[in-house]
Amino acid sequence: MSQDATYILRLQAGDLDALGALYDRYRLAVYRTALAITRDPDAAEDILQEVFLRLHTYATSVKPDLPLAPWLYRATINLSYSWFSKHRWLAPLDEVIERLIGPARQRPEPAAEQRAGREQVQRAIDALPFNQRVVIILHYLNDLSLQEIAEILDCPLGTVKSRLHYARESLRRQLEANGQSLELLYEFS
Amino acid sequence: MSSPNNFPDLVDHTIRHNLRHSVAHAQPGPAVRQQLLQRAARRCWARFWWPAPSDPVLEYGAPGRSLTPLELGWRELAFMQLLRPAGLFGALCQLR
Repeated sequence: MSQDATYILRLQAGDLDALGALYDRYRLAVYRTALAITRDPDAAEDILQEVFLRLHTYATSVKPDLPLAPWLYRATINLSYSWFSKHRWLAPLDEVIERLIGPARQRPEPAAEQRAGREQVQRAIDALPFNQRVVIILHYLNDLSLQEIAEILDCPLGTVKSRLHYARESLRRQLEANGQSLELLYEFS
Repeated sequence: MSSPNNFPDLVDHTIRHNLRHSVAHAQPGPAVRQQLLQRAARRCWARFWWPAPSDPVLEYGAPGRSLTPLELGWRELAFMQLLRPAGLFGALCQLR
């Protein structure tokens, strides 16, 4: 029996120490996934807490013989989606402010230019539709296979492949437009 | 150095590198764990009185999936309208 299975069985019996142990084990994966989706540390903390509260509340419906990570990722993404749909109007506002302030800035130094390049990539990822952004984050940040992502999102493998393809194409187009920054990033990494 | 031939690899590398860099040192505050355990303990007590309902967030699965309709008939809807505080029943209750 895996360590997770032992903790889940203890959690099902009402042991809160098991919840703490599972939190310690998965907190970074859940928090960083939520942060990558929302780009808001406070929202990511709220989502992290809510994911583990749900694990506690619905522990009896979690199967101990199955891996826990997909369950946690699924809850994280669904809660991030709820947050995203409430705050989707704030992101365009940030872009407008950036556009207004951006031209007034001085030409950046190489290190600052590299940072600016990263910000461009980040903005390109943030501009993706939610479904594509989630696939990109699960695949590139969490190193999940497309099959694992399909199971987490409860959708066909072909849909995940399609979302990844369109997301990569969209990012490629935007990154090609900023080719110099991209090469700079590549050299420094 | 990149070339047009390895641009797809460069795109992959750039996405992966940027995503990881953006959250590399991020971690939740220590208070989150304590709050979580306190809330869970309170829910243990609350659950004794109110058993947990099914979880809509997990049940509906993929983001964006629509909610299941309630499938109420016109009789149920009319009855619920009557029972509203501003409905007929509520108005009758407020008669003096």
